[in-house]
Amino acid sequence: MESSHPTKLMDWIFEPFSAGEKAEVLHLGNPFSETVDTFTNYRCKIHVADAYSKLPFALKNSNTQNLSSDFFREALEIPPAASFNLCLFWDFLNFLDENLINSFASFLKPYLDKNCRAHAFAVHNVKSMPSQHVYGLADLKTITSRPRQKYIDAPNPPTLKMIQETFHCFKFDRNIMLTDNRIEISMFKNNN
Amino acid sequence: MFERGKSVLDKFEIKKITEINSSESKVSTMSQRNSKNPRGQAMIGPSIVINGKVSGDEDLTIEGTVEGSIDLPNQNVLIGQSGRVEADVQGKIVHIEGKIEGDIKGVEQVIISNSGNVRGNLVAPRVTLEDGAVFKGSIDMDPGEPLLEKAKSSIKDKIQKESLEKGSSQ
Repeated sequence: MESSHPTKLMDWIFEPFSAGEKAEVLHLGNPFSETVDTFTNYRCKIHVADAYSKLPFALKNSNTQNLSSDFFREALEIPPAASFNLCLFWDFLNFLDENLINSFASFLKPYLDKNCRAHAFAVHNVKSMPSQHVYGLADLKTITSRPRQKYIDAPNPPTLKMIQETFHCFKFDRNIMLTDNRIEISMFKNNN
Repeated sequence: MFERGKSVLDKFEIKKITEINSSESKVSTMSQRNSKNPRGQAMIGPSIVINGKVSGDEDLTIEGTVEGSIDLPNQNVLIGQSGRVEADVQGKIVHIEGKIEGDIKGVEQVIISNSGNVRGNLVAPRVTLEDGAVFKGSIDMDPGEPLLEKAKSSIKDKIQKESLEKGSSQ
């Protein structure tokens, strides 16, 4: 069933682009029609990365560092010259373990603009399962969601603290607790 | 088929030709989309395979297979549900219902229907991606001056044609 909820973080995340700057966007998963429609209001280039479909394989083998790097290279297919200043991770981090989040951060860092801003969801605690939904952006005030077509198992979703400690390419800006065991996060590039 | 109007097919190889007009519904869909195009539409039928460059002066519906490039910056291109394209495509409005591997430039718009499967990079001032469509690549909605200029002049032409047609019908 399709649903929507208000967001207070997108205004800040989109601030530079609302002022006319071109957005180079990393979007994890296939975007909804309304997300693409929202982006038509901005000068932008969106890189769509089908990262979710290969997750089960990565989760089974995440103890191998080399495999982690290969996984992100193959799943994201980021062009060498990419310099993203906006990342929409949605709930992707909820499906990764500590090792994979760390590898993901290391892999991503060279492709991030120094002023990059990002959005993600986390879960309230380790007992909360990640929601089996896919997310979109109807406008800067409204996030939409629809049920995921293929279930992705995530036995141990990382806590917010764990994400903060291991997703080292970003610093956390604001967290907002949501009612369905999720936390909405805005982030900015860690230039240290 | 491509001798109608001013279409040109360079270096093409038609491996198999059967009934071209087997998909009249698709043609009528295209007609509805651009009913005022005096040159009509060209159609690559489901059993036709083309290797090479496709260019011309008519709207084009592809229900067959095209490998190479499709260069119709002033015309609409529809890749129908049975269409299979391995080519870079340029069109005024490019509408994808089938499968394509290649980069797509839409002077005005690119539309990927829910049955569409696209692997490549899109450049257009406006992109519509219907839910259910499979897409892998990038979407550039800041196409820069050349495409914007083409879009502007295409809209200008359209307005001029419409006002001429209105004038002649009165």
